[in-house]
Amino acid sequence: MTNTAGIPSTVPANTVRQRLNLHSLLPLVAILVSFLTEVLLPNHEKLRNPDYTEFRYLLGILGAIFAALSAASVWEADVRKAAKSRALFAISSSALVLLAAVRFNDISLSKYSGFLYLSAAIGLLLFALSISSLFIGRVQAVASRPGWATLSQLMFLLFVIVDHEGIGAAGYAPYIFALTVVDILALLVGLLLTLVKNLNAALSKRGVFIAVLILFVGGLNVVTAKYLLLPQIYFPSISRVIHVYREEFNFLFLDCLLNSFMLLCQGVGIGLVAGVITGVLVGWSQRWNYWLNPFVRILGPIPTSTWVPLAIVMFAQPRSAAVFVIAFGVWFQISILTASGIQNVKKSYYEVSSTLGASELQNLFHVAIPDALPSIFLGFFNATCSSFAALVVAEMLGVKNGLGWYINWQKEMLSYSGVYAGLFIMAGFCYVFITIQFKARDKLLSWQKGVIKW
Amino acid sequence: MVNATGAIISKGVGKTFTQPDGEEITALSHMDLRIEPGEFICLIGPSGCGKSTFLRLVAGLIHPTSGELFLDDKGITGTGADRGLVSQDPTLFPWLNVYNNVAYGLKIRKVFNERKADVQSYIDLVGLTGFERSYPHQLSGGMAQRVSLARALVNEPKVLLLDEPLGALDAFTRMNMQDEILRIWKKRGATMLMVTHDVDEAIYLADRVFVMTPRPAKIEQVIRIEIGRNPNHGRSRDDPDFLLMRARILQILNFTGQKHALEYNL
Repeated sequence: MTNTAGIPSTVPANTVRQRLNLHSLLPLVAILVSFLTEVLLPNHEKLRNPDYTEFRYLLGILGAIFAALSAASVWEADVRKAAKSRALFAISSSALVLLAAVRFNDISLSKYSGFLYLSAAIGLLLFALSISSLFIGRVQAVASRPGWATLSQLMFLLFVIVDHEGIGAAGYAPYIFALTVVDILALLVGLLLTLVKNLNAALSKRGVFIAVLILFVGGLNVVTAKYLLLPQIYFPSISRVIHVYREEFNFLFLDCLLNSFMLLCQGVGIGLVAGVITGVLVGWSQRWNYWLNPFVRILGPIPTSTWVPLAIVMFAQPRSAAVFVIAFGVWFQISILTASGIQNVKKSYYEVSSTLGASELQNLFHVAIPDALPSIFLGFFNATCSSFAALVVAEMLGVKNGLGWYINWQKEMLSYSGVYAGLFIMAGFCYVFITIQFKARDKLLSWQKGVIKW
Repeated sequence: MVNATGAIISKGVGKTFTQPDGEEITALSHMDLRIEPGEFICLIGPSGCGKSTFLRLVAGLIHPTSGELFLDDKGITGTGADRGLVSQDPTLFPWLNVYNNVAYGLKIRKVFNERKADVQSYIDLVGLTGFERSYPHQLSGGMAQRVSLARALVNEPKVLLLDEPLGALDAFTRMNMQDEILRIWKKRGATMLMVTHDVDEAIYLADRVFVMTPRPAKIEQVIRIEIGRNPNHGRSRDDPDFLLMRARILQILNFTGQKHALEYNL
């Protein structure tokens, strides 16, 4: 290839073949193989209705997504340029959500109305950002992120799914229908834009892994549904597990997941605040250390589940008892690591700070706590991990709701498809919880890159 | 420009540390001296002679067991922003970037809003323009030390206490930094009290050199350096007077081997 001057130009890095990484095609192949085995082999599972075919649909949707992503990755460079139009897109979609929120206000809302308000709040924020982004260049970078738009739309959709009866009764059905279609489209485009951005890099790294994973699931399907090589009670077919989601979507996600989430947030939140305060007092002041340290050392290591009998007696409400059980474990871990973080601050930092004019209290807030932050975060991370275990224990306390409780309940009923369905949600839930924490840490503690590693 | 204030007066100051086993160690005994405002003083001596202890006493980080210390006519009872300290280890706050490290003193004293512009000007003064957003771990040793210097300077202390500030630097950075310190001193006119191990550094920089000896830890001799400074940097290191002065100080410090060197040089 030569340009007009006759000098061979360098090959542009954006040729279709280079952009379409071969690794990104492997998952597609795996999906195809799994799909063929699912469709061609006869179903032998007899335990319930043998006609569960959810796995086919799942593979179909996955295949469509991967195909769309692969196609879109070719188109990626142009997509990136579209940041500005993305901001406009965000404006329109958030305006829709906003409008919906306003209009719904006069119909009686179900108990999930909190969702709508939150969704409207995000929509409003996004709307403000989008409008200001037209004038301020810096805000645009934030507003043009489709993640926010996606989130608000997702919440809105969730509301529509939950409250479809109320909406229909109020006579807004056609309007809602149009809005839903627009929002689903917006959601899909938003998701696609988000995913495509790093698709090539991610897939070339993870493509083989994803392909093997899909093949494994396909193999599992053959073993369970097709040839019944494993006990049917304990190893249900994938279609049956997915069927649980279809049947009990509202209960699983809006009751159990939401309850677990709220319980965990409350417990971890209270434990975090109490832990940081205790840790700072113990680490900073000799007098507080004298009085508090024995309690921390003696009470702290007691396993969470041991508190259950006491918690029931101490609190009138089973829910408060559950929050206490979670908060207690979190409190201990965070206070120990906060105290050690504060005690390990180098003396020379205080000296420098003092010679620059700081008082004792200023030393605490401007030196001790910032320097102890990595340690506090480490405590927070440990505490969150163990709080998942505490969550399951806490949900046994007569709360009769939540993911942990659901899994146990399904086990008692010998309904293992429900157990697996619950487990997958639990895994995803913990993963998201931890990931958010890591992201927050990276934002807050960017200074410690290259200083402290954990 | 020379400040009219910033005199350090030490009256019979002594410091005794008590070891955990009850044993008492005299780090400093009976220091009587007066440092004039705007003077550049170097404390020199082998380790364990109480140089750093004296500096920390002036900073107010520790309190004398006997005697009294004054800044101008005010007794020193604790730390204060009128005495800035720069130590061998830059001890920058790792959670703050260069700009915020330098601004720390102003923010602590709640004068940041009025004196915002000074932060940038001191960063420029130590030659770190463009590194405002860098974090300490991204800086080299010399750069970190300069930030540490700027952080102490931005408070505009009457006295700048330098505890071997260049000890950890390589020879070239060190010589550059010596000129930098002189430049800042001439510009700011603060009283400088610097601890060093390096005889050459002391002669290069100081108006007066306090030669200290250990056991008993005290000032053995005060030497006024009369050699003229060059306009843009310190004294010429190869001046015969410079070499003589070095030989004299080393002799006070009782380096017997150096006595022969003295004869050689002459």
